[in-house]
Amino acid sequence: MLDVKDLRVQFLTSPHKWAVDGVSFHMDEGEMIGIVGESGCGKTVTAMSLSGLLKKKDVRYEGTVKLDGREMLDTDRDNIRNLQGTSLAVVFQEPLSALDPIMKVGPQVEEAIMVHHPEISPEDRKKMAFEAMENSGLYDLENVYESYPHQLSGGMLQRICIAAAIISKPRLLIADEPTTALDVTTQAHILELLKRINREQGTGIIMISHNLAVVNALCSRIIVMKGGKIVEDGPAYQIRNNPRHEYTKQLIAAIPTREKKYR
Amino acid sequence: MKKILKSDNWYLKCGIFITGFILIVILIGQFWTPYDSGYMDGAARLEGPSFAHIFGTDNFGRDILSRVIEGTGTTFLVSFCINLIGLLAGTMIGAAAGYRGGLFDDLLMRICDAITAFPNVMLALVIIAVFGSGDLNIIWVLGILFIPSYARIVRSQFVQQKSCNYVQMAKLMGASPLRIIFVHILPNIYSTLLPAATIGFNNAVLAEASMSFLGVGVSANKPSLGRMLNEAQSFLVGGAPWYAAFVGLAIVLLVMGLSLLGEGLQKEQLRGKK
Repeated sequence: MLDVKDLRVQFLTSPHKWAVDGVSFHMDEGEMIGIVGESGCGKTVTAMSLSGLLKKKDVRYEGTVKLDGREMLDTDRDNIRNLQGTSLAVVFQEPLSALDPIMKVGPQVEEAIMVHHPEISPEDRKKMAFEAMENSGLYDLENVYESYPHQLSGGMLQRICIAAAIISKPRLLIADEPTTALDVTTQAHILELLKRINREQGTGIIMISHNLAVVNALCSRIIVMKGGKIVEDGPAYQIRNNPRHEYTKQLIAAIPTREKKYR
Repeated sequence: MKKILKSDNWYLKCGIFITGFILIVILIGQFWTPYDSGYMDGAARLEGPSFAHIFGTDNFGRDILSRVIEGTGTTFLVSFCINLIGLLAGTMIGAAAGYRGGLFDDLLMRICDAITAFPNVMLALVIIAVFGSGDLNIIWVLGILFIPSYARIVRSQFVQQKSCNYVQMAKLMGASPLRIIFVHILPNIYSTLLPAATIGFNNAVLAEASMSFLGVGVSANKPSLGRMLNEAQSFLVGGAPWYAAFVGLAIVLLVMGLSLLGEGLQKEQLRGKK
């Protein structure tokens, strides 16, 4: 479904470094991939290039990104806009700032439908929003629909963001550290939710995280990045039990367990 | 309303009270004034305040109170139109420049800088001298001169807001730039724009009054505060100081009410952010 070939991204502000330096991977329909790596390793830049959020005047691309055979990097704004919110959706790290502070959350869930299918009546749209919100594990929908972002908790807001992302049944969902801003219990719920969406709706999910444990619990396949390059790519169990690259071993060693003691 | 009466924001309270009072007087003045503002009573020229003429009469024997009420209405209406032009056009230009950025932004903002580089009243005088005076001309000219200040405020807000995550999110949902500008960003900067608009209104009142004072404001057959002040200055020492005093008072009251309102709104906004 998604085919990334030799993707290189460079910010024009630092013209001698490649933020992403030759990344290639293939993703099948309904697969759940985790991308892990330290801060600044290029995982978010990779995801943002996939979603078409980086502006042409700020960055230089090389390579190809194909979603369902359609080229994502070379098309014009209108084409990308047609894909955004229909084939592709993103969930951000900080749910409170990702929502418009003075707009009720209900209409924000409907945004993608409102933009791409203006012909759908408000009642039907609301029905779709309720369905998406229910699928995102929210309850007391009438009340939540009429709330403003500052009235809801972080976990609920992240569910709203997920509802907004899945309302148009995208084929690819990019989750950029969706649980970093949440506490551990909520984190587990949100991860569970993403897993369920993947299973029930067949949505392909790319999960970006610096936390190997989180990704390991969720994804069937893990890509480890460092310095803009992919250092290891394989099934989760293999990465976990039999890491080949030195950096992956270090990442696994960094997961705290009960047995490890500080020396 | 109850919330306003209970709040300890005295700026806002006084501002609403004074501006409200003026608005009511203007409204009444549309239907009824103590005398016809154009009626000249030859027997009662430059009379001091009395029960018959509370504010006295001018050099043609016209009732000053009636003329002040009507003049305030004219000034208010003209300033309102000036402000509306400045606000609407300024918001459009500022939004486009701030959202788009780059060369387009630079170009628009440098044009605004060029306009602001001249003193408003002087530039207005030059333009009026070329195109001739008239009610509509004065509104257009001053309205255009008010655009840059609004454009700058709106632009700076847009530059700030467009990098916010919620705008990125809306973009990722496939929202068009127009939708992002009008549905997402504009409502968010409303609280900054409102006090700015009140203060702008204030400046518009002063600008209109100065233009009329210089004799290029609204047409001479309509009473206007600036023009009356101009007429009154020749009697300031000569024997009718109340003429200038009452007209001046009306201007001061109008400007003070509006600036208190603006100040109060700004305070309210700051409090909301805390």
